[in-house]
Amino acid sequence: MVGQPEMSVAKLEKMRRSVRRRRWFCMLLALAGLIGAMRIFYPYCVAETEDMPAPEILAYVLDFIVAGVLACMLLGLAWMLIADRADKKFCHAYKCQYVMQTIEALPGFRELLYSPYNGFSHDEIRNAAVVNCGDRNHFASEDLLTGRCEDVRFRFSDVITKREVRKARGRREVNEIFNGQVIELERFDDRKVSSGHVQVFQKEFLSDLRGWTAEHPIKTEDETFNRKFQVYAADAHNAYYILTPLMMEKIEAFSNAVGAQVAVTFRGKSVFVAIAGRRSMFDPSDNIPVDQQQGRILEDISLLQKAREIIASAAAV
Amino acid sequence: MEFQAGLLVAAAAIVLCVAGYVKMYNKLRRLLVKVEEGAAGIDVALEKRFDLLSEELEAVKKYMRHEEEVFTSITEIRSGVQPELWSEKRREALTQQMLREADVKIREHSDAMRSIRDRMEQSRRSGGSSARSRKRQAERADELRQRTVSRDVARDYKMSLLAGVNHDLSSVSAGIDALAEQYPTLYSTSNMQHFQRSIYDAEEHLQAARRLYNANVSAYNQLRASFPFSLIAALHGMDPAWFYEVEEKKRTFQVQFDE
Repeated sequence: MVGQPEMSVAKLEKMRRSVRRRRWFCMLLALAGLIGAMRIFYPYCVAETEDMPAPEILAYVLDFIVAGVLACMLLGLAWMLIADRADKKFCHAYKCQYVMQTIEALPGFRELLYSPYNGFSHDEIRNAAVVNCGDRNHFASEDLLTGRCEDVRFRFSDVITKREVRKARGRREVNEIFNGQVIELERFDDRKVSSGHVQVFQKEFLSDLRGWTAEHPIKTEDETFNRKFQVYAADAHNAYYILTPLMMEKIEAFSNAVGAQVAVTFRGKSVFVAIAGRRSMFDPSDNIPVDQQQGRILEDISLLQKAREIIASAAAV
Repeated sequence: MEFQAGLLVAAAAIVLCVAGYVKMYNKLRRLLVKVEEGAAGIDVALEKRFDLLSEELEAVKKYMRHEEEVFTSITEIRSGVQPELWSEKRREALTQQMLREADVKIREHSDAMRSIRDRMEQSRRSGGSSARSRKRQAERADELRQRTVSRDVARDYKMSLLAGVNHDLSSVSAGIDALAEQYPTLYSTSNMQHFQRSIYDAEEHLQAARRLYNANVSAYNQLRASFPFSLIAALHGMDPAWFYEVEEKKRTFQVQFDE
């Protein structure tokens, strides 16, 4: 976020180590609690299982279960009291200061705004039609980064969509549909506007991931492209207008560069890119040193840079 | 019983064959319609290109012609300033000469008036009430009056010359201001850029229409060539479709900026 004081790597590393120490302490405490509870409750378990077949084994199992439950409760309590605050402080400092510092140092970026707890809205994802938007109640989006990359305005965020399904006997289950990143680029070409949606899904993008699709499936003249991607559009002419041979090459190149399943939707002057199956962006890890985690931030940002360089290359700087 | 079962099976097989035949025939027809639709799409794109660019070209040409005329007029005016400057200098020299002459005349008359006054003063001091001296005084007084009038006339002439010069200077500066305000800002560059964008857009749409047509032709021809669709196509006289080829007539659009 704009205006935050600069966070040094050393200070952040100190915070990370503190979180790690506290986590290990909680785990050791829980382990000690487990051993202690097993010793305390063993006689009671033996008494309970006296009349049962294989009483010793059952006593151990019962003892372990009871001690385990207590150890888990102890772990949770210890975490809340000892480590939770430090962990949140570390996450906040990492996301709000360190991530922004790292991205601002990269060339080509300006007017950056990072909001760790905001993202795309359910309606925006639904209107973009780049992924299945799922149920509104189970929609989540966070780590929203906005700004300009090579003079093209963008929005970049984690998106998780889910759907509630009914199972047998009235049970309900929430299934995850999409978990990845969505990029919106303000323009993909200075001289073209798509009249309606032109959706391009990688074929591994399962039908459930796609959600609503336009009326007509389109076959382009490029067989290699047709083998890898499925195109939908309300107007075939508009699809051919947008998907020139050059644009199809760019989409293929982007898919290869990213190494994950992608979906691209052109609507108006904007293009939406969805990348599925990746870890959440900009999340800190207390197991990895902070300077090594910078590589993860750069890896996340590289998706955006590739989208700008490859798909929106016709947009002038 | 067996005979009836056999009949039923045969009837089902015939129905299935007929249904399959109809389905394949309809599929071929649909693809053929798509080919025709694609061809119409090319015509639409060509028509759009021709109409849009013709109108835009006319508009751009008119605007360029208008700017050319304005620019030419301005250039002529600017080139016409030089003779004006030359005549202005000549006029200035003449005016200065006339002013000098007027000054000389004024000085002459003033000197003459001074000498007449001196002489009149001398004769008054020296006395003499004779008729000749009175006559001589009267003549000198007349001469003095005439010199005064001549000097006043010369002064008035000088004042009118100066007033004229002042007026000329005012009109020249007003003319320069008017010229500066009338200098045009040329907008034909932005018109040309917009025209180029229109050309690009029209060409892109045309290319998309051609590619779509060829894709539909390819799909139809591929299906038509495969078995058993080839049989159905032969039975119903469905010929293979032709890929897009350029025709000369209205399909070339030459951008001409010359008259």
